[in-house]
Amino acid sequence: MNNTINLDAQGLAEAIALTLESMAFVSVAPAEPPYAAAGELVLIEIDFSGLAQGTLRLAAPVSLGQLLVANIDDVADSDPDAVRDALKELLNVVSGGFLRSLGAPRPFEMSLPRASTIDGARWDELANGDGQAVVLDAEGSLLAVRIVQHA
Amino acid sequence: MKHCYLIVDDSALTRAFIKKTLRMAGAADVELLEAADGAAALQTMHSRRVDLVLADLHMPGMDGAELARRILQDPRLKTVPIIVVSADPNTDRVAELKREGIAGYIGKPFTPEAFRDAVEPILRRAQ
Repeated sequence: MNNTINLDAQGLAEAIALTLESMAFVSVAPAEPPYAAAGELVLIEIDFSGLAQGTLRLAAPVSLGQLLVANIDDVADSDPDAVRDALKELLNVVSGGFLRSLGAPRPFEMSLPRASTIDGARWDELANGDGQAVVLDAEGSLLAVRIVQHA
Repeated sequence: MKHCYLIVDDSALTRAFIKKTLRMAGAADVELLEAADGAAALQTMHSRRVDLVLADLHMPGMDGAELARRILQDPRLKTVPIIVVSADPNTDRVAELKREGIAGYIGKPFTPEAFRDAVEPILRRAQ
């Protein structure tokens, strides 16, 4: 049995763009490598299982979370919890849309999102490591999303 | 009498976004209540009248599926329509909940039009 799925980078990028535009009126554009991190960085992870098992990871600067909060909730000074909440919901919606779009014969299940702080080296590994991440420019904030599949 | 909707989602930002979207969809004269999980939602519903529940599925504690089942099995609450608002990729779960009696489903990311299309006919039927 094949336990891996093809990473449809275009589909993932479209799910990110659709979510950011619908949820927070934020537009995205392709980013040019090498992808440099800026400011404090957050990693959000969601595990999935079903046709394949793995983890979807989103790395982004706090500034992106602040932009989401400002656009959605009209709050200029967002607290760290609100920023993480925004980035968690972003990956939650992106993951759901992307996994649904795969149209698997067996539905996927997703975990609740987890958040942690990462440093520049971890960002570099996630965004620049092996060319497998989808990296986009969301109005000046870079975000990197990648799928790690487990055997 | 003013309608009252209960928004159930563990993300405070999503609750704020749903409120904003409902306003954009024309729900200007509606009282909007919030709950962060299923247990808090049930507590609210037992303490006051609610005309519609908009619930996420993925929540820590009592999730949206369990909340929907508790409402559908409660003689005092079972007539309150439930709309699931979720990014859940498992469409089988939503289909199962529809068979059990939820009134509708709105996928995330959503638009004001999706809310208008889902909410208006349900409230018309309930009147």
